[in-house]
Amino acid sequence: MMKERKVTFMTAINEAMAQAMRRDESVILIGTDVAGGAEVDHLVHDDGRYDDAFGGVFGLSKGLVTEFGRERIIDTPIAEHGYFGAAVGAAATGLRPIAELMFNDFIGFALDPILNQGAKMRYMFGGKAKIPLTVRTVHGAGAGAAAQHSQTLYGMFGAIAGVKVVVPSNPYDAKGLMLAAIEDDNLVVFSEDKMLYGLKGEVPEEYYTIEIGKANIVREGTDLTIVAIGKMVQVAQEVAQTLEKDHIQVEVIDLRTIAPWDQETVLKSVEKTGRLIIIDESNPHNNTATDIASVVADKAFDYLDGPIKTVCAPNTPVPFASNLEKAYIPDAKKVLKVADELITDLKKVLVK
Amino acid sequence: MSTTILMPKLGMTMKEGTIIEWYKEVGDPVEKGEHVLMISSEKLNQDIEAPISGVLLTKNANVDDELKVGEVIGIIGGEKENVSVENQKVETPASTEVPTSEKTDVINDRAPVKELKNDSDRIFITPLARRMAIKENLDIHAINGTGGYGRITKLDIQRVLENGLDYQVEEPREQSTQEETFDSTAIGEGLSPIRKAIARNMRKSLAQTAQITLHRKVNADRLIEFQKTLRKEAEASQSTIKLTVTTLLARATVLALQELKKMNSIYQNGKLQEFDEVHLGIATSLDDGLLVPVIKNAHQKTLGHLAKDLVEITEKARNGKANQEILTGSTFTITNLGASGIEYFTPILNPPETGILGVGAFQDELILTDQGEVKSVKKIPLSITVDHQIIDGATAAEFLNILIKYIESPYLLVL
Amino acid sequence: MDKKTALWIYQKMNEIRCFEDEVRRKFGMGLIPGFVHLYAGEEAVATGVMALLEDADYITSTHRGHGHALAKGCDIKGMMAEIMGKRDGLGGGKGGSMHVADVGKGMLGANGIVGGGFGLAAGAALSIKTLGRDNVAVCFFGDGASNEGTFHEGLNLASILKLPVLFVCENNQFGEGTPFRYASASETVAERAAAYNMPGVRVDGMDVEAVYHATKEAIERAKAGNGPTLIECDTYRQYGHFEGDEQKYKADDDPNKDRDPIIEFRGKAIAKGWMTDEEANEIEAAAEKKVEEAVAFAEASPLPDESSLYTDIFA
Repeated sequence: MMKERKVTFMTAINEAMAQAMRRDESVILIGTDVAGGAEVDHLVHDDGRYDDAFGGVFGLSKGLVTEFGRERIIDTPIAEHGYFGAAVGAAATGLRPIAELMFNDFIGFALDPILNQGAKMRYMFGGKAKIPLTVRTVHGAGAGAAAQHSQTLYGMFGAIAGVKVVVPSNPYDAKGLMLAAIEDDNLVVFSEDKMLYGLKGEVPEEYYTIEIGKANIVREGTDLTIVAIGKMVQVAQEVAQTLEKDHIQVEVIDLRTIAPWDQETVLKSVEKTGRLIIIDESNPHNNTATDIASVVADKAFDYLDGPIKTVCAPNTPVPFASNLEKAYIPDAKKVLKVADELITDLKKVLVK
Repeated sequence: MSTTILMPKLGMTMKEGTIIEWYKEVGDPVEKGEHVLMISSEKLNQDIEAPISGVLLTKNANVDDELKVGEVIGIIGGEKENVSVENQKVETPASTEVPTSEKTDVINDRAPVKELKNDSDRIFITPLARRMAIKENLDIHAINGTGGYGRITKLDIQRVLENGLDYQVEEPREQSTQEETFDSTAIGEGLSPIRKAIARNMRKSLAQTAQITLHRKVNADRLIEFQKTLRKEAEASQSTIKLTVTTLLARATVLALQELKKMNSIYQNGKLQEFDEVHLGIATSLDDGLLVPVIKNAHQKTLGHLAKDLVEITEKARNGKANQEILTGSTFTITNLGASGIEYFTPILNPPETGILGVGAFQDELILTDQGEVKSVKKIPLSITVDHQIIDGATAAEFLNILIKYIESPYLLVL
Repeated sequence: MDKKTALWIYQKMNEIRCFEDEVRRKFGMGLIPGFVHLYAGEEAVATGVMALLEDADYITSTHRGHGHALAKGCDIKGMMAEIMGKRDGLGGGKGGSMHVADVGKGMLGANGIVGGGFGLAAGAALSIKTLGRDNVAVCFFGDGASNEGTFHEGLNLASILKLPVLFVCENNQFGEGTPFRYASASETVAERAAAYNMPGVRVDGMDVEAVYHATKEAIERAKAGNGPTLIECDTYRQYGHFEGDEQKYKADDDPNKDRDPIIEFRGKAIAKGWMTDEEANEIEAAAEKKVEEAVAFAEASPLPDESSLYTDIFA
């Protein structure tokens, strides 16, 4: 029975992990300060249960160590390559780990286990290995966290053959996709936008999954398609509302999965509307948006009624100053400016 | 809600237009259909109507500014509206947002791509629209593009399916290779739009053809008599038809062209086409230039009909009301300098035609009749220019002979 | 240590403390975006080391780098402005607290990546050695970073190439929220030096003199061409890992909890005749004033121009 209650994005993920761990003993969570306060005496109850000192740097995994103990909620030293390697090894040999990379910017220290081990072992071993590993990580600018803590790198993971990548935009999807990622027998990167952590939404209490690889049409329309990822879905909705005043009906697609992204849904939408904008907070080159544009230009060529427009962050690191950071992140105003060529003639009247 | 006024595409080859005059000022109220400004392109002036009622919010170009087809000329909307436009130039009383860091593209920051210039008569059309046009058997040359960069879009196809083609295309006048090799870009610099167009046309004509002119005088006494008789009859029956000598000469030319089809031909794109039908261009002088409106299917028209058409099209040309349809498609042209007292001259071909007939002023001449008497007759000097690539002097001379047959035996004109 | 050095040290310690306390206040008021990681309590290490360095010596720092930056001579006004994300900051407002730097003063930047400094410091030492300069590089890192793979790679490389670099570990007992004794297989960081064939020294990081003397020896060793040294300083951070950290992992029995390196040094310096009471008071007041001026400067500085989003990507 679906109950209507609102919880935050962060809580939804916490809940997903807890429910998965209750069902399946082989699910563990491993990362830096996913609990915090290891071997701190005053954080241990008389009955042996633990309190966390952090529960994740944003508090997302609070309470888990109390329920599941330190055998399954494992604090690691700050040694990403080490524990990601361990996570891959554990996944290949019977555990179903969730490994947390505290900020996706730290991928520099953890890339090999994902890139060369986890993504390729099954293939190289002729199908004789299975890597049911979920990598949880955090992306996104907007918190003033500066260049090394604000990047959006899910596209980079998506470019690796053998890796699936999901990016939820709301609490309902976050829980469903998390559970799906854990159930998936492959390496799935689950990338969370830190700016969405406080977003509240309706989340059913029960266990449910959302299909990985399926996008969600969050708003139907006939004149223009906008594909958006993560917190850019809100931007797309804002654009749609603005254009509705001009009687332009925008179809908004929440991509949900970056790799493999839902070609069928996107192509069908472009066939209907003929015009496409993609909003992606990544830097502008070699990213998910350019991938989508390339596939659509190929497979929906004869349905295109205008050029495909991508709206991304600029080709710079993330700046610290608040006004510069704001200029960096795509917003509704920028979308309307970049895609003006696609929108203007939907509004305008030509005088003969 | 505001609406933009765009530079329209008044003809297939029109690429830009010039602002001639604004009838309204920024802030003036306008009614739907009211004339807001006048623009001019190569050959014609055109008043632009307001698409909706409202207030003229912005003028994006000044008098004498040249804009490309599809660029915004102005915006009409509600009084208090905030508007901002791509090709902003002039007064914008409603507060428009100052675009931050114009030089730096804050979004995307793609390496700047060299802008594709629509510098040919190439038609830009979206893949979807092209498919629809093929399916509906529509000639995309006859469709106005309202998308970015003047692209024809699905909306344009839908509009055309509802309202009909934006303008007619008679013969498929394909992009002439002759035109392509003729670089007209530097010609006509510093001239008004219409003079520029004339300059380019004339230069092109002379550059791409081998023109020779033959002169001959013809006795017009019988023609004049014929004309008088017809006029009397016409007046007597309350007809308003005004039969001029030019009309009769036009008819004579039509008949001669049908007899010698070689003279009724065009040469373009390496293709020579002879026609059965005659579309007769009538060179018409204006205050500051020259236009050649066309009587379409002149071979199917009676003398009266020709007379009427002649008056109509030359008037339209003089008033700037001749559209692309009227100004193109001729197979042969007549030019008359008789009114200015000119005897013989060397008319320049109207490309891609291969012949043009110049008519001079009546000359009183004394001749010796067969009976040995001295008589005064009226003669008309004729000057025919042909493209020697296609037509030799002998053929041109033959044509003149045929023409003269009709002029000297005018009752044949009625047949 | 002589009087001049002692006064310099005391001045810097106070500037750092006042600065960090002010940053903490401003952060609490919401005037500073992002995260801040405060150095208060660890002043003895930064000053004890930097007292022996000049501009041409290089340091790499951590996310907790305000103390290092100030001690290395970075302009205090520029630093406050940078932390507030203003145009007149050391980085033009583009780096922020975790990326304060001044390469001209030998400060190769605070670093948001734990363990990011080992390689950089070794590289700086490589330049020094290759270009024949009479300088050293110092890598500051925390106990948390000591478990990164880059610790192993950086120390090993520096040792085999005999690079003139000091690896200074600020062991404040916690890698974010995880105690060192849990995260480290070895009881100390210093003992690991043996694995890299370099001396490993462990000192009381709350005692400036101890840090100073250990550093002096290490510098002499490095300049003599004998390679790197690992110095572990037992220290304590008064505040959390970042501002906003509830610090649940801290215990009442932390040995350094109630120690204040500034107060300790004040007493020692006066006792040893390097400083009088008045001089100490003057220095304290001057430090407060300097920080006040820095705040005024930062608050008056405007946000960076939007066009600077695009500058300084490439040379």
